[in-house]
Formats: sequence, C-alpha cells, structure tokens
Amino acid sequence: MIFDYVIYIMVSLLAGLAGYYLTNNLYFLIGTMVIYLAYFVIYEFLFKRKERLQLMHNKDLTTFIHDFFLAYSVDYSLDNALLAAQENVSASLKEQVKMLEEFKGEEKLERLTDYFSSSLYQLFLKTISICNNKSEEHDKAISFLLEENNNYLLNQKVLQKSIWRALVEFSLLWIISFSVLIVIRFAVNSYFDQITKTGIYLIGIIFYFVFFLFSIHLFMRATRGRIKRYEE
Amino acid sequence: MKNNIKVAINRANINFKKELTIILIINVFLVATMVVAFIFTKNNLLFIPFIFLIVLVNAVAFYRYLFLYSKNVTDQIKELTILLRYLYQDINNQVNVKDALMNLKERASLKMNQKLETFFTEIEKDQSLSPYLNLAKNFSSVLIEEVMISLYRYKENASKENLLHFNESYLKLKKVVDDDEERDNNRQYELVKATAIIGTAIIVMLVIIVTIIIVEEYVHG
Repeated sequence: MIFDYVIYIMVSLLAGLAGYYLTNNLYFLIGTMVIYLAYFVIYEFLFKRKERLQLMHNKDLTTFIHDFFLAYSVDYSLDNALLAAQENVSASLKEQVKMLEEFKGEEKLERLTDYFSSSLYQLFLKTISICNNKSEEHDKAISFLLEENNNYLLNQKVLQKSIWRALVEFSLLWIISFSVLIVIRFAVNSYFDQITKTGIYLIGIIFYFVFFLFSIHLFMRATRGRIKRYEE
Repeated sequence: MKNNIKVAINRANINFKKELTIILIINVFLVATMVVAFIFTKNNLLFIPFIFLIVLVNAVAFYRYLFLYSKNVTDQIKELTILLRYLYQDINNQVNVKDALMNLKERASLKMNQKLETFFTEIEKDQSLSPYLNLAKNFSSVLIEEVMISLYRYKENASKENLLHFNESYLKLKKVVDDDEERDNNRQYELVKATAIIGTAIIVMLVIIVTIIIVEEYVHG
C-alpha cells in the first residue's frame, strides 16, 4: 500500500516537473500535480482499495483450502480443520471467522461466501457437501478441488508476474516518450521562448499530459480487469 | 452505413438512441473546441490534429461495438465453462446427469438461467440429442457442442468410456477458454503500451507544427 502511495506521488511530481520544464510555467507545474494527485486519490478510493482487498482474499482462499484439507484428512472433523485453516491467513479472515462463532461446521463455512467471492470457494463448499454425504467418493472430490486450488495459486503467481512485467514495460515506454520530449526541448532551446508564446504549443502540451493520464487510467483499468477475471 | 452502425450497436446490446446521442455530443464538443481554438489562434494548421481526433474518436466508437459484441459472446462461453466445471465435478462423483444439470441453476446468471430453463423444458419433452444441441447452438463454439454430445452419451449410457470422453471434451474446452483469456489479457496490455508510442508521435507532430509556425512568422516578418 505504501509502495502505491509513493508511486502516485512520484508520478504526479515527475509529470509536474516535466510540465514545468516544457512550459516554464509554475502554474502548469502546480495544476498538473494537483490534477494527477486528485486522479490517484479518486482511483484509490473507488477501485484500488477493493482490488487490494480482493487480492488479499484470494491469497487467503488458497491458503485456507490447502490447510483445511491437510487437517481434514487427519480426523475428518470440519471444526478442527477450520481451526487449523485459520493459522496462516490474514487477520481480516480470522476476524470474520470469529464473528461467526455461533455457527457450526458447514453453516459457518457457507457464511464465509461473502468474504470469498471466487467460484473456487463454491467448489470448496460443494466438496465439503460431498464429503459429508458420500464418504466413499470424497477422496476424488478433494483431489479435484486441491488440483483446482493449485491451479488457482499458480494463476495468482502468474498474474502478479504479468502485472509487474506490464508495469515495467509501460513505464519504460513512457520514460522513452518523456526523454524524446526533453531532448526536443533541449534541441529547440534557442527559440524555446518563442515556442512557448504560441497558443498551439500550450494546447498541445496540455493535450499530451491529459493523454498521459488517460494512458495511466487505461493501464490501471486493464490491470483491474485482469485481476477480476482471475476471480471467476 | 447508418444500418451497419445500427446493427453493430444492437449486437453489442447497447441502446441505439442513447449511444447515438452520446456520439453526437462528443462530435459537437470536438468541432466546437476546434472552432474556438481556431478563433483564438487564427491558425489553419490546427484543423489537422482536430480532424484526426474526430476521425479517431468515431473509429474507436465503432470498433468498441464490435469489441463489445465479441466480448458478450466470449463471456457467455466463459460462464458456461465455469458451470460445466461444477457439472464435471458432480458427474465424476457419481451424481446423475439430471441432478447435476439441475444444480447449475443456482449458480447461473439470469441470462444463462433463461437458456437453461429452455433446455430443461425441451429435455422433458424430447429425450433425443436435439435439446443438447439446441443449448450448444446458443454459443459460437464447436467444443461446447462436443461437450454436450458427450454429456448426452453419458446420460444414455453411464459407462467409464463415455465418462472419459466427457472429461476429455470438457478439459479441451477449458484449455481453449483459458488460452483465449490469456491472449485477450495480453492484447489489452499491448494496446495500452501503444499509447506511449502515440504520446511520442503527438509530441513530434506538435514540435513540427510549432516550428513551421515560427518559421512562417519569421519568413513573413
């Protein structure tokens, strides 16, 4: 979370400074920084927090299922397995389970559907139901679920890696774009003052920074969509 | 051309009148901005980027309808694949086909439930393969047809061979859907990365235009 906030401040500052270097206008620097920060704050409150929460829930889910069946395979007790499954999960999930103290066994697990919105959890509940009803087939059902759980965990790691790779590539491309801008600014230094006086230049620079913000928005939206798809 | 746009918008499940209004507002805004910018700068060259922008915005809007239609089709296939996962698990745990199919209703979306309801009504009246094929026809996928045929065969004769055939066809469908999704994810990121190149192009164009303006002013005094 802190890392995200640092990124927001750094990007806003860099955009502002680049804007100032390209226009020699202090108001442009302040305006750019304010607009970028405002966008990141709005995005953080509207989407990023939910995204972060969802990622945490996903991580909890795979750990929960894995530890649950590890314990369940020992004494086939739902309550003991649930207790064991809570050891390595986040404080948020432990809190959620604590709130459901009055419920027992399968009912308690069903109440966690609000916390775990993924279809993998539905599969988990289905497996528990099979385990409770048909003892001779439960090994097959558990084996199927654990295989899905492993795939889910693998997909999470692949997802994180791919988001990081995309972020690095995206950042590098925009760094190159800004470098071109700065080189051009340096190249036209002798008549830069004349350029800044033309209205079309200012409109163009404003458009460029708006486009940059739009590009950031598209990237974050694509990442959000990708995380959402892995939920299903 | 109007008919093509209307067909594209309707296929994307968007309200035609509302969409046309939005496109009109955006185009009027861009033209108005172009005119105001021209009044303030008195420069003909300004028309070039604005006309380019208007064409780009309309092209993106039209492409969006095609994309939404394709996305709807893909989402439906994906939803069915997720439902088939439950079916796959139930059938492999000796649940009979009819009960396994009924269990899907509580997990399906409203749209999918409508298709399933039609399917259940048909299988009550017709015990042949037809209802299964009719359900598969709702999705543009040969693999779904294959899964439904293997499901029907297993329903008629719950042998190990038919179960294996059903499992194979389901897993084949799942792999194709997963691969398509991965490709789609990568394509989105590629499009986003392309915006950086567009950004560079904007800057280069801007500097060229401004340099021409300054040279023009210098030449004409």
